[in-house]
Amino acid sequence: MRKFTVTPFNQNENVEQLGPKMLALSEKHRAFVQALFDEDAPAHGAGLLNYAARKAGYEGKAVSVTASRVAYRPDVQAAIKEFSHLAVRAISPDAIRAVRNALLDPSHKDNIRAASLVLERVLPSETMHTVRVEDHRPPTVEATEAVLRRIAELAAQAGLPALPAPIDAEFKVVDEQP
Amino acid sequence: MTAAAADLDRQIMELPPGYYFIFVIVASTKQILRDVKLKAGERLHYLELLNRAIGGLLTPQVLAAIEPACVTQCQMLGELLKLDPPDDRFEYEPDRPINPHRYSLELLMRAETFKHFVKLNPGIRAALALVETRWLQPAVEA
Repeated sequence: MRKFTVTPFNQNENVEQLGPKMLALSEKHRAFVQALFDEDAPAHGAGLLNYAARKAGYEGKAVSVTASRVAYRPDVQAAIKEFSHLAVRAISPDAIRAVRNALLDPSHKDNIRAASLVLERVLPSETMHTVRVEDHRPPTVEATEAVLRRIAELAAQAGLPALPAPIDAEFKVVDEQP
Repeated sequence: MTAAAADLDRQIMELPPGYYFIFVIVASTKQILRDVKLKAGERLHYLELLNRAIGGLLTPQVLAAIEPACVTQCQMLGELLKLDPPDDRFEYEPDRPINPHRYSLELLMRAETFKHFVKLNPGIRAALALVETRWLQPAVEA
């Protein structure tokens, strides 16, 4: 089975391509992170951390403890996240090649899936939503002191000194969901 | 015809017909403010309308003199408004091709129609007297 390669980032000669989080690490930690993305690295749970620790130069019986400590350091975690983006970009040509191979071979078991994948990205299905926002709240003026004072002033001017009290009351918004 | 009735006729004839409508609407608005249970915002809205109506012959004193319309006046106004198309509205719209409430206004701005409202509303009669005083004011000063 053909493996994806991230070889451009496996060696320290490509240090200038690394991001600031990787460059902030010590040489051993940086090697640890890079080893996690090795082509020959075992899967996570099958000795990946131990492999990376040994590749970075850690030795001894307690290498698994050291590997775990290194892996969960905040700066190493940040560097892993940063390096993942680089690694994904590095393997994208391989991904494209794989899809193309599946697409060009009608007998390939994933031929239809590859075709759907490409079509979905070239001609994405469009969904149109018509959103109508209705606000049924009536425009109201709160019965503040200023409003009541203005009402009294205007009512007196209009010759209506004794108006009944307004019907405003305390209210709270209730949730309509049962 | 008594002298008082002749005076009233003269006062009505001397008042520009546009004020017939304004006086009746003021009385109707006051009736709403007095008799209808309104929220503070709605009440303020109607009072601000009355306040904005002040101008020209409708001084604050004239506005205060007009009494709220009685039930009969409200019914009369309602019958007048039935002359207009159902979708007619009072709001002024500059782009509207026709005059709003054209038919009811035509009838309301006749002296004989307005006279019925005056007879039912002593406040409008008092307002007419105040307006007359205002009309006479420049002549007295001169």
